[in-house]
Amino acid sequence: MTPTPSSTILQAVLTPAGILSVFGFKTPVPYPFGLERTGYLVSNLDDAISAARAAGADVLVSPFNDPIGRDAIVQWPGGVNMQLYWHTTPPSYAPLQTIPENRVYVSADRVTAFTRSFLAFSHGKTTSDDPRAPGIEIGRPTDTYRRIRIESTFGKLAVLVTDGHLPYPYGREITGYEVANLAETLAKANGAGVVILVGPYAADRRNAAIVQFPGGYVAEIHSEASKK
Amino acid sequence: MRGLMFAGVNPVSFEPGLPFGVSIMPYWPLTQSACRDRVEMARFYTNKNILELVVAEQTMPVSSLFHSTAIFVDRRKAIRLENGKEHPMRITRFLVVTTAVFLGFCGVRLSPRQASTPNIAYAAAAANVAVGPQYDSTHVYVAPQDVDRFVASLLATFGGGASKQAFPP
Repeated sequence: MTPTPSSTILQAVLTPAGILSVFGFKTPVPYPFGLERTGYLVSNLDDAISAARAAGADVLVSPFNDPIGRDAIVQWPGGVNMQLYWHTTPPSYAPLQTIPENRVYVSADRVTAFTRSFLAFSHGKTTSDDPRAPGIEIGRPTDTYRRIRIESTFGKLAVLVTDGHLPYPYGREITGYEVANLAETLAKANGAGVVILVGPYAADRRNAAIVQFPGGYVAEIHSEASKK
Repeated sequence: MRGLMFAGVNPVSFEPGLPFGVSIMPYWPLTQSACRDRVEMARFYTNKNILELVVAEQTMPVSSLFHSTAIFVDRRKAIRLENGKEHPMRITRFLVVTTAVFLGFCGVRLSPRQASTPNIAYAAAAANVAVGPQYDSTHVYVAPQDVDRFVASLLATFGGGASKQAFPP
């Protein structure tokens, strides 16, 4: 799964709230793998690389073959790494019940460059840009911060613009999963050995919590406030 | 006439004395009709001291670039352009220069100021390569001995299913 020799277990998990690629490396992980956060399927990898470059991305790992397709890793301004992948046989997965959000923490220095680049690449739209979002969302209830929400065919992306003074676990969560009922989901999670690190709390018409799964994965989970 | 117009509606004054004119050339080797199919909104032309920008209501490729441009300059309180609605404000030379630089970044070619005749062409932006959010996967690296219980906890929490474990080379 990497362009240089390595050995890993790979398991795809397809949930109605989002999909995951789970890696269990049996060898050391070649750089820069492990830092890519997410993998986005693209309709054509070469076009995607051209488009990403034109939009201002660095190509950290140039295209390479894997057993079922091709991959590359790009980095957006602000240091956000992302794998782009393409399969020889196009995958066909059911639509999600809820669209998760890719949660990107960036600095105020680079947020403009990041959003400009990612909007151009994704053909996305800014759906909200709140310069005074409630600080409780980043663990600082007495402060505010800037939060931008972007939507595109790739899905949702939340840009959290902070000074980097973040209490644990904020910033460790890569993805925020939307569920119909947060309390019910947390009850199921609790029964499966998932630890609730933060919350639940209410902010921005959401109820949200941050959890840690067995094995260490940290994620945000939320539901619309009106639905609990 | 000295002004900058968005969607041919709102004239906005800007500082005179631009150091250059702007013309747009197709970024990709597409036929002009193909460009029109994809983008019909970007028309630039120059007069001596006039940069006229026409942006139609569109969310197709080039419009995204302009949208991005608008966001870029919005940070500097120069102009606001969102979803085809115009909010004219004072345009500074800084705005014009940064816009032109960004357009240059997008494949627009700057030309020496000369033309008094409108010079209209079309620009095409990059293809939309996105497929869908059900194909965005979060990459999670765990110790190999933790894969089973991690996957089980995900399925217990969210439902769904998992592939068999693969051992790709």
